[in-house]
Amino acid sequence: MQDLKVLLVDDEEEFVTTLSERLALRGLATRVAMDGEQALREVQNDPPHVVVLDLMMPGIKGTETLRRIKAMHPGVQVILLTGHGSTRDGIEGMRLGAFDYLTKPLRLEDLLEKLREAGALARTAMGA
Amino acid sequence: MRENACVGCLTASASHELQNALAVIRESAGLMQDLIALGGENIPRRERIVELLSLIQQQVARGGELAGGLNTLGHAWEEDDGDLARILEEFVILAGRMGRMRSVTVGLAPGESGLRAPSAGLALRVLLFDLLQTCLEEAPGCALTFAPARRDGIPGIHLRVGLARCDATTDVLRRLDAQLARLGARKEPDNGHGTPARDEPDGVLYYFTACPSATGHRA
Repeated sequence: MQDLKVLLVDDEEEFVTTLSERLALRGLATRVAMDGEQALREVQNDPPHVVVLDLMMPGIKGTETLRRIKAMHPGVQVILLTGHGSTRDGIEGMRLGAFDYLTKPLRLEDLLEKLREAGALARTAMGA
Repeated sequence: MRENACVGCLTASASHELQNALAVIRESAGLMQDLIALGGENIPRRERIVELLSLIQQQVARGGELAGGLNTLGHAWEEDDGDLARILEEFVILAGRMGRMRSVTVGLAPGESGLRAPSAGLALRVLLFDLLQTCLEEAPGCALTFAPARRDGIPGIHLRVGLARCDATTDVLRRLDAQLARLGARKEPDNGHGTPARDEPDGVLYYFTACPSATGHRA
Protein backbone atom coordinates (compact mmCIF):
# COMPACT_ATOMS: atom_id res chain seq x y z
CA MET A 1 0.00 0.00 0.00
CA GLN A 2 2.97 2.32 0.48
CA ASP A 3 3.03 5.08 -2.14
CA LEU A 4 -0.25 3.99 -3.63
CA LYS A 5 -1.55 7.09 -5.41
CA VAL A 6 -5.14 7.81 -4.43
CA LEU A 7 -7.40 10.62 -5.60
CA LEU A 8 -10.36 11.31 -3.29
CA VAL A 9 -13.29 13.08 -4.94
CA ASP A 10 -16.10 14.48 -2.80
CA ASP A 11 -17.75 17.90 -2.56
CA GLU A 12 -17.78 17.70 1.26
CA GLU A 13 -14.44 19.42 1.83
CA GLU A 14 -14.03 18.68 5.56
CA PHE A 15 -14.79 15.01 4.96
CA VAL A 16 -12.43 14.55 2.06
CA THR A 17 -9.50 16.47 3.57
CA THR A 18 -9.76 14.63 6.89
CA LEU A 19 -10.02 11.27 5.16
CA SER A 20 -7.04 12.20 3.02
CA GLU A 21 -4.98 12.99 6.13
CA ARG A 22 -5.91 9.66 7.72
CA LEU A 23 -4.87 7.75 4.60
CA ALA A 24 -1.66 9.75 4.35
CA LEU A 25 -0.82 8.72 7.93
CA ARG A 26 -1.00 5.14 6.63
CA GLY A 27 1.52 5.80 3.89
CA LEU A 28 -0.78 6.48 0.93
CA ALA A 29 -0.06 9.34 -1.46
CA THR A 30 -3.39 11.12 -1.43
CA ARG A 31 -4.81 14.08 -3.30
CA VAL A 32 -8.30 15.55 -3.19
CA ALA A 33 -10.74 17.01 -5.71
CA MET A 34 -14.05 18.69 -4.89
CA ASP A 35 -15.96 17.97 -8.10
CA GLY A 36 -15.92 15.92 -11.27
CA GLU A 37 -14.16 18.52 -13.42
CA GLN A 38 -11.31 18.93 -10.95
CA ALA A 39 -11.05 15.16 -10.68
CA LEU A 40 -10.74 14.79 -14.47
CA ARG A 41 -7.97 17.42 -14.57
CA GLU A 42 -6.10 15.62 -11.77
CA VAL A 43 -6.41 12.27 -13.55
CA GLN A 44 -5.21 13.79 -16.82
CA ASN A 45 -2.20 15.54 -15.23
CA ASP A 46 -1.03 12.70 -13.01
CA PRO A 47 -3.07 9.48 -13.15
CA PRO A 48 -3.54 7.97 -9.69
CA HIS A 49 -3.78 4.23 -9.13
CA VAL A 50 -7.20 4.55 -7.53
CA VAL A 51 -9.93 7.19 -7.55
CA VAL A 52 -12.46 7.18 -4.70
CA LEU A 53 -15.44 8.94 -6.26
CA ASP A 54 -18.62 10.15 -4.59
CA LEU A 55 -21.51 9.61 -7.00
CA MET A 56 -23.69 12.40 -5.63
CA MET A 57 -21.92 15.67 -6.38
CA PRO A 58 -22.96 18.95 -7.95
CA GLY A 59 -21.76 19.49 -11.54
CA ILE A 60 -20.81 16.53 -13.74
CA LYS A 61 -22.65 13.42 -12.64
CA GLY A 62 -20.55 10.83 -10.84
CA THR A 63 -21.30 8.17 -13.46
CA GLU A 64 -20.20 10.54 -16.23
CA THR A 65 -16.98 11.35 -14.36
CA LEU A 66 -16.38 7.61 -14.01
CA ARG A 67 -16.98 7.04 -17.72
CA ARG A 68 -14.51 9.78 -18.69
CA ILE A 69 -11.84 8.56 -16.27
CA LYS A 70 -12.07 5.03 -17.69
CA ALA A 71 -11.96 6.43 -21.26
CA MET A 72 -8.80 8.43 -20.44
CA HIS A 73 -6.98 5.80 -18.39
CA PRO A 74 -8.64 2.37 -18.36
CA GLY A 75 -6.08 1.08 -15.84
CA VAL A 76 -7.09 3.59 -13.16
CA GLN A 77 -9.41 1.85 -10.73
CA VAL A 78 -12.45 3.67 -9.40
CA ILE A 79 -14.17 2.95 -6.09
CA LEU A 80 -17.58 4.60 -5.86
CA LEU A 81 -19.19 6.06 -2.77
CA THR A 82 -22.98 5.91 -2.65
CA GLY A 83 -25.66 6.88 -0.19
CA HIS A 84 -27.28 4.14 1.86
CA GLY A 85 -30.45 4.22 -0.26
CA SER A 86 -28.65 4.46 -3.59
CA THR A 87 -26.95 1.10 -3.96
CA ARG A 88 -28.57 0.78 -7.40
CA ASP A 89 -26.29 3.62 -8.54
CA GLY A 90 -23.29 1.69 -7.26
CA ILE A 91 -24.33 -1.40 -9.20
CA GLU A 92 -24.86 0.73 -12.32
CA GLY A 93 -21.37 2.20 -11.76
CA MET A 94 -19.82 -1.24 -11.68
CA ARG A 95 -21.47 -1.96 -15.00
CA LEU A 96 -19.66 1.12 -16.31
CA GLY A 97 -16.30 -0.21 -15.15
CA ALA A 98 -15.97 0.80 -11.50
CA PHE A 99 -13.89 -1.55 -9.35
CA ASP A 100 -16.46 -1.61 -6.55
CA TYR A 101 -18.69 0.62 -4.47
CA LEU A 102 -18.95 1.43 -0.78
CA THR A 103 -21.87 3.00 1.06
CA LYS A 104 -21.51 6.04 3.26
CA PRO A 105 -20.73 6.43 6.11
CA LEU A 106 -17.52 4.59 5.42
CA ARG A 107 -15.60 2.29 7.69
CA LEU A 108 -11.94 3.13 7.22
CA GLU A 109 -11.01 -0.56 7.42
CA ASP A 110 -13.39 -1.34 4.53
CA LEU A 111 -11.95 1.46 2.42
CA LEU A 112 -8.37 0.36 3.12
CA GLU A 113 -9.24 -3.19 2.10
CA LYS A 114 -10.80 -2.02 -1.18
CA LEU A 115 -7.85 0.32 -1.83
CA ARG A 116 -5.44 -2.58 -1.33
CA GLU A 117 -7.30 -4.75 -3.86
CA ALA A 118 -7.91 -1.98 -6.39
CA GLY A 119 -4.34 -0.71 -6.03
CA ALA A 120 -2.88 -4.13 -6.83
CA LEU A 121 -5.02 -4.35 -9.97
CA ALA A 122 -4.13 -0.80 -11.04
CA ARG A 123 -0.38 -1.35 -10.58
CA THR A 124 -0.61 -4.41 -12.84
CA ALA A 125 -2.74 -2.65 -15.44
CA MET A 126 -0.69 0.55 -15.42
CA GLY A 127 2.68 -1.13 -15.07
CA ALA A 128 3.60 1.16 -12.16
CA MET B 1 -47.95 10.62 -6.06
CA ARG B 2 -46.77 14.24 -6.06
CA GLU B 3 -47.04 14.33 -2.25
CA ASN B 4 -45.05 11.09 -2.00
CA ALA B 5 -42.37 12.51 -4.29
CA CYS B 6 -42.21 15.73 -2.27
CA VAL B 7 -41.78 14.02 1.12
CA GLY B 8 -39.55 11.33 -0.35
CA CYS B 9 -37.16 13.62 -2.19
CA LEU B 10 -36.82 16.04 0.73
CA THR B 11 -36.26 13.17 3.18
CA ALA B 12 -33.67 11.56 0.90
CA SER B 13 -31.91 14.88 0.32
CA ALA B 14 -31.79 15.89 4.00
CA SER B 15 -30.76 12.44 5.21
CA HIS B 16 -27.96 12.43 2.64
CA GLU B 17 -26.70 15.70 4.11
CA LEU B 18 -27.06 14.23 7.59
CA GLN B 19 -24.87 11.33 6.50
CA ASN B 20 -22.32 13.82 5.18
CA ALA B 21 -22.27 15.63 8.52
CA LEU B 22 -21.85 12.32 10.34
CA ALA B 23 -19.06 11.33 7.97
CA VAL B 24 -17.16 14.52 8.83
CA ILE B 25 -17.59 13.87 12.57
CA ARG B 26 -16.57 10.24 12.14
CA GLU B 27 -13.42 11.02 10.16
CA SER B 28 -12.47 13.91 12.46
CA ALA B 29 -12.79 11.68 15.52
CA GLY B 30 -10.88 8.98 13.67
CA LEU B 31 -8.09 11.39 12.83
CA MET B 32 -7.89 12.48 16.47
CA GLN B 33 -7.61 8.80 17.45
CA ASP B 34 -4.80 8.39 14.91
CA LEU B 35 -2.96 11.46 16.20
CA ILE B 36 -3.32 10.36 19.83
CA ALA B 37 -1.95 6.95 18.91
CA LEU B 38 1.04 8.68 17.32
CA GLY B 39 1.46 11.00 20.34
CA GLY B 40 2.34 8.16 22.67
CA GLU B 41 1.55 7.84 26.37
CA ASN B 42 2.48 11.38 27.42
CA ILE B 43 -0.76 13.07 26.37
CA PRO B 44 -2.57 14.31 29.52
CA ARG B 45 -5.74 12.35 30.36
CA ARG B 46 -5.12 10.20 27.31
CA GLU B 47 -7.36 7.33 28.38
CA ARG B 48 -10.35 9.61 28.95
CA ILE B 49 -9.86 11.27 25.57
CA VAL B 50 -9.66 7.87 23.86
CA GLU B 51 -12.83 6.78 25.69
CA LEU B 52 -14.71 9.91 24.58
CA LEU B 53 -13.59 9.53 20.98
CA SER B 54 -14.80 5.97 21.05
CA LEU B 55 -18.16 7.20 22.39
CA ILE B 56 -18.37 9.70 19.51
CA GLN B 57 -17.74 6.87 17.02
CA GLN B 58 -20.47 4.75 18.61
CA GLN B 59 -22.99 7.59 18.45
CA VAL B 60 -22.04 8.39 14.86
CA ALA B 61 -22.70 4.75 14.01
CA ARG B 62 -26.09 5.03 15.73
CA GLY B 63 -26.91 8.22 13.83
CA GLY B 64 -25.65 6.64 10.63
CA GLU B 65 -28.07 3.74 10.97
CA LEU B 66 -30.97 6.12 11.46
CA ALA B 67 -29.90 8.41 8.61
CA GLY B 68 -29.43 5.36 6.37
CA GLY B 69 -32.92 4.13 7.23
CA LEU B 70 -34.38 7.58 6.56
CA ASN B 71 -32.54 7.79 3.25
CA THR B 72 -33.95 4.47 2.12
CA LEU B 73 -37.41 5.52 3.30
CA GLY B 74 -36.99 8.69 1.24
CA HIS B 75 -36.43 6.56 -1.86
CA ALA B 76 -39.31 4.17 -1.06
CA TRP B 77 -41.90 6.00 -3.17
CA GLU B 78 -39.88 5.24 -6.34
CA GLU B 79 -39.16 1.58 -5.50
CA ASP B 80 -40.67 -1.14 -7.68
CA ASP B 81 -39.61 -3.94 -5.40
CA GLY B 82 -37.08 -4.46 -2.65
CA ASP B 83 -35.18 -6.84 -0.42
CA LEU B 84 -37.76 -7.67 2.24
CA ALA B 85 -35.21 -8.41 4.99
CA ARG B 86 -33.49 -5.06 4.41
CA ILE B 87 -36.80 -3.17 4.42
CA LEU B 88 -37.79 -4.83 7.71
CA GLU B 89 -34.39 -4.10 9.23
CA GLU B 90 -34.66 -0.42 8.35
CA PHE B 91 -38.22 -0.23 9.61
CA VAL B 92 -37.16 -1.70 12.95
CA ILE B 93 -34.38 0.90 13.24
CA LEU B 94 -36.72 3.78 12.44
CA ALA B 95 -39.55 2.51 14.66
CA GLY B 96 -37.45 1.76 17.73
CA ARG B 97 -38.26 4.98 19.55
CA MET B 98 -41.98 4.79 18.73
CA GLY B 99 -41.98 1.41 20.43
CA ARG B 100 -40.01 2.52 23.46
CA MET B 101 -42.53 5.32 24.10
CA ARG B 102 -45.13 2.58 24.76
CA SER B 103 -42.66 0.14 26.40
CA VAL B 104 -42.81 -2.03 23.29
CA THR B 105 -39.63 -3.64 22.01
CA VAL B 106 -39.44 -3.84 18.23
CA GLY B 107 -37.05 -6.44 16.86
CA LEU B 108 -36.12 -8.42 13.82
CA ALA B 109 -35.75 -12.17 13.32
CA PRO B 110 -33.77 -13.62 10.39
CA GLY B 111 -36.69 -15.42 8.73
CA GLU B 112 -36.48 -16.55 5.14
CA SER B 113 -33.59 -15.03 3.23
CA GLY B 114 -33.60 -13.68 -0.30
CA LEU B 115 -37.27 -12.70 -0.41
CA ARG B 116 -38.25 -9.75 -2.57
CA ALA B 117 -41.22 -7.57 -1.68
CA PRO B 118 -43.23 -7.38 -4.91
CA SER B 119 -44.74 -4.06 -4.06
CA ALA B 120 -44.65 -0.32 -4.23
CA GLY B 121 -42.28 0.58 -1.38
CA LEU B 122 -44.55 2.99 0.42
CA ALA B 123 -47.48 0.56 0.56
CA LEU B 124 -45.28 -1.93 2.39
CA ARG B 125 -44.06 0.71 4.86
CA VAL B 126 -47.66 1.78 5.50
CA LEU B 127 -48.59 -1.82 6.26
CA LEU B 128 -45.66 -2.18 8.68
CA PHE B 129 -46.59 1.10 10.34
CA ASP B 130 -50.23 -0.02 10.73
CA LEU B 131 -49.17 -3.35 12.24
CA LEU B 132 -46.91 -1.55 14.71
CA GLN B 133 -49.48 1.10 15.56
CA THR B 134 -52.11 -1.56 16.23
CA CYS B 135 -49.84 -3.40 18.64
CA LEU B 136 -48.80 -0.16 20.38
CA GLU B 137 -52.44 0.75 20.96
CA GLU B 138 -53.82 -2.66 21.84
CA ALA B 139 -50.91 -4.26 23.66
CA PRO B 140 -48.51 -1.70 25.19
CA GLY B 141 -45.53 -3.45 26.78
CA CYS B 142 -45.49 -6.27 24.25
CA ALA B 143 -42.42 -7.55 22.39
CA LEU B 144 -42.78 -7.41 18.61
CA THR B 145 -40.55 -9.26 16.20
CA PHE B 146 -40.79 -8.95 12.44
CA ALA B 147 -39.39 -11.52 10.02
CA PRO B 148 -39.54 -12.05 6.27
CA ALA B 149 -41.58 -15.17 5.48
CA ARG B 150 -43.45 -16.90 2.70
CA ARG B 151 -46.74 -18.77 2.81
CA ASP B 152 -48.07 -20.66 -0.23
CA GLY B 153 -45.37 -18.99 -2.30
CA ILE B 154 -46.48 -15.48 -1.30
CA PRO B 155 -43.87 -13.27 0.39
CA GLY B 156 -44.96 -11.48 3.49
CA ILE B 157 -44.28 -10.58 7.08
CA HIS B 158 -44.23 -12.93 10.02
CA LEU B 159 -45.09 -11.12 13.21
CA ARG B 160 -44.37 -12.46 16.70
CA VAL B 161 -46.21 -10.74 19.55
CA GLY B 162 -44.84 -11.61 23.00
CA LEU B 163 -47.28 -10.66 25.76
CA ALA B 164 -45.30 -11.63 28.87
CA ARG B 165 -44.78 -7.99 29.94
CA CYS B 166 -48.30 -6.86 29.02
CA ASP B 167 -51.27 -6.60 31.32
CA ALA B 168 -53.30 -8.28 28.62
CA THR B 169 -56.74 -9.80 29.14
CA THR B 170 -58.74 -12.07 26.89
CA ASP B 171 -60.61 -8.94 25.71
CA VAL B 172 -57.30 -7.38 24.71
CA LEU B 173 -56.39 -10.51 22.74
CA ARG B 174 -59.73 -10.43 20.94
CA ARG B 175 -59.31 -6.77 19.99
CA LEU B 176 -55.72 -7.32 18.86
CA ASP B 177 -56.82 -10.24 16.68
CA ALA B 178 -59.63 -8.24 15.16
CA GLN B 179 -57.49 -5.18 14.45
CA LEU B 180 -54.64 -7.22 12.94
CA ALA B 181 -57.15 -9.21 10.85
CA ARG B 182 -58.37 -5.90 9.37
CA LEU B 183 -54.81 -5.41 8.13
CA GLY B 184 -54.81 -8.84 6.51
CA ALA B 185 -52.78 -10.53 9.26
CA ARG B 186 -53.96 -14.05 9.93
CA LYS B 187 -53.13 -15.90 13.09
CA GLU B 188 -50.77 -18.86 12.84
CA PRO B 189 -50.69 -21.89 15.13
CA ASP B 190 -46.90 -21.84 15.44
CA ASN B 191 -43.81 -19.86 14.48
CA GLY B 192 -43.29 -21.82 11.28
CA HIS B 193 -40.55 -23.92 12.88
CA GLY B 194 -42.67 -26.01 15.22
CA THR B 195 -42.83 -23.73 18.27
CA PRO B 196 -46.55 -23.48 19.09
CA ALA B 197 -48.29 -20.20 19.83
CA ARG B 198 -49.71 -19.72 23.33
CA ASP B 199 -53.00 -17.91 22.86
CA GLU B 200 -53.39 -16.56 26.38
CA PRO B 201 -52.92 -13.18 28.11
CA ASP B 202 -49.21 -13.72 28.90
CA GLY B 203 -48.54 -15.89 25.85
CA VAL B 204 -46.93 -15.57 22.44
CA LEU B 205 -48.93 -15.02 19.26
CA TYR B 206 -47.88 -15.44 15.64
CA TYR B 207 -49.35 -13.76 12.59
CA PHE B 208 -48.61 -13.68 8.89
CA THR B 209 -49.59 -10.99 6.44
CA ALA B 210 -48.80 -10.91 2.74
CA CYS B 211 -46.85 -8.02 1.24
CA PRO B 212 -49.04 -5.51 -0.55
CA SER B 213 -49.04 -6.06 -4.28
CA ALA B 214 -47.60 -3.57 -6.71
CA THR B 215 -51.01 -1.91 -7.05
CA GLY B 216 -51.15 -1.18 -3.34
CA HIS B 217 -53.66 -3.95 -2.59
CA ARG B 218 -52.90 -7.00 -0.58
CA ALA B 219 -51.44 -9.83 -2.68
